[in-house]
This record gives sequence, C-alpha cells and structure tokens, in this order.
Amino acid sequence: MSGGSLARLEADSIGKAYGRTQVLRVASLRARAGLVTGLLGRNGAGKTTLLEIAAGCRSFDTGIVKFEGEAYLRPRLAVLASRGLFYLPSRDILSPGMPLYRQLNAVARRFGTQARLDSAIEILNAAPLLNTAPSRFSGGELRRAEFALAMVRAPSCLLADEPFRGVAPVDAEMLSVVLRQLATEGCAVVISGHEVETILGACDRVTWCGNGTTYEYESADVARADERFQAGYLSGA
Amino acid sequence: MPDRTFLIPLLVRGAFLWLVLRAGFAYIAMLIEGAPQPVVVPGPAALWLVLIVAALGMIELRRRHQLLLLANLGVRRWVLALCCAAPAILGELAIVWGQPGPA
Repeated sequence: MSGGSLARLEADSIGKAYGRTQVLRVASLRARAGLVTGLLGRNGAGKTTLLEIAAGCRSFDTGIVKFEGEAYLRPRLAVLASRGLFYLPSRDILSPGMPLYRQLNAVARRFGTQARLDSAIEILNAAPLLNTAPSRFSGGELRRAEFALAMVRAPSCLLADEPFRGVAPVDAEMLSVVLRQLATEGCAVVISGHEVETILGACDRVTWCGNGTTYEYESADVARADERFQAGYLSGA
Repeated sequence: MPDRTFLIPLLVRGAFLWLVLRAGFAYIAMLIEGAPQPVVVPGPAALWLVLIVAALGMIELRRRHQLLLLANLGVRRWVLALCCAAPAILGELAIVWGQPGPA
C-alpha cells in the first residue's frame, strides 16, 4: 500500500491533559484515503482521547486538527460530519428505543444514500434487526447495526473506537469486510482496540500510541518487526 | 435541521415540557398570589421557561443517545437546542400576542 496516500484527517502534535495528568504530549493521527489505520496502545495510553479529539468530540490543549485540507483549532463533530466524517464511539451510538430501520433511513435521507441501504443490510446481515429497537440487541448485533449506519452514511473518513470489542469472530470478520469495502471506496478508516491480531489483520498502517506520543508504521508487518513496539505493546516486557 | 425522524419527536417533547412547566408555573402563581391571570408571566420568567425547556430537551436527547448520532448527521447543538425550545418560544409569543392591548 502506498505510504503517500492523501491524509483526509490529521490530528497533528496533539497535547491533552486531564488536570495534572498529561495523557498526550505530542501525538499525531493520520487517516489516509483508501487505507485502514489501526490505532493501538495500552489501556490509558490515550487512544480514545486522540480519536475523540480527531472527531471533534473533545477539546485539546495544543496541536491542530485538519480535515479535508481545512485546519480547525476547535473542531466540532457536527461540522466535520457534514463534510464527510463519521465517528463510531466505543459506547452506543444508536438510539436505544427507535427501531433500527428508522435510524438507517434517517441517515440515508440526510445524505441521499438510499441506494446503499440494501447492500449495508445484506452485508451486515441486519435484515432480522430492522424492526427491533437497539435496546434489545446483543453486543455483536449492536456493532453490526452501528456499522450498517456507517456504511449507509458512505463517509469519506470513518473513526471507529474499539469496533471489535466483545464481538464474536464471525461478526468481527463481517465488520472487517465492511471496513475493507469502505477503504476500497476511498474512505479513510481508523480503528482502535486491543484485539491485536484482528486489528493488525484488518489494517494497512499502524499508529502506536504510548508515552503521550505516537509512532507510525507503514504496515502491520513493519510494526510487528519493530522491537520497541514488541517490547512496549505486544509483550509488555 | 435534524431529519423528521428526530425533529417531530423533538418538537412534541418540547411542547409537552413547555405545557407541563407552564401549568406548574400557573398553579404555583395561583397558590401564592391568587393571581387572576396566571397565564401571563413577566418577560424574564418567560425567558427562563424557554431556557429550561431547551435544557431539559437536550438532557433528554443525551439520555436517548441521540446527541452523538445527530452530530454524526451534521446537526449542530445550538440547532438542536433551538428545536427543543421552538414550541416554548412560539407558545410564549402566542400568549403575549393573544393578550388584549391597553384600553
């Protein structure tokens, strides 16, 4: 994969402290068009904070966020979303009491992507879920439904926080297919989580978050071969 | 603006909240002052009612996990707050305009 793909979203030199705890010092995240980037790091390393900052859901102390060539000192998700970003947080995004089909339809109507509804429902095997409220979904069903939402949106950039958490291997495979399809369509995808093998298997590039900063790798193999990544994350030794 | 899937319930909730608050306000005013026209409230009180309806509407949106979803649909928070408050604003204006003018 090309290392020089266009960075649709760039959170550059981000610094963020919660009180006296400096979570991020100089961390950067790049979401490149047509590629899936895996964001890895230990618990508390700041992955979610970095994703939230990049998505415009959290303020930051230093740095800048650029999306589609425009720089933002105080980005807002609604503004970035109207330009093509879709953010899937680790917590539920679907309205628990509203049937899934109504929510998918609302997204399709908003962005004129009705043509994608059927394929999203088919790929994610969401047909049995359509008339059910998400409060009745299992963890795996919920994630599939959320991915259906993202797919219907047809985003130019997708940030997904821990998409594989608590998901059965068969569902994880389904989600990986969707991520790959979105990337093939030109979407810049970033996924985070602790399911190392699943994430390394699904991504083209790796960003490792640790010690308040980030390290970028051209591919999963390059990351695996790096001793610092092995010692600092894979083995923890 | 939010899609009608979200907008209509938002307006209905806003109207319901405003009616409940208005009824409560009128009842309290009647208990305290025995006011002959408890429907009429001073301007600042009406403004507070609108703000409270907007705040409660936003809290309800958060409770329903719809804030993030609507942000992903490109709807800004101030637009949502305005939608929550719209029935209250219209209601208060209707009351003011519905009052007979000075003789």
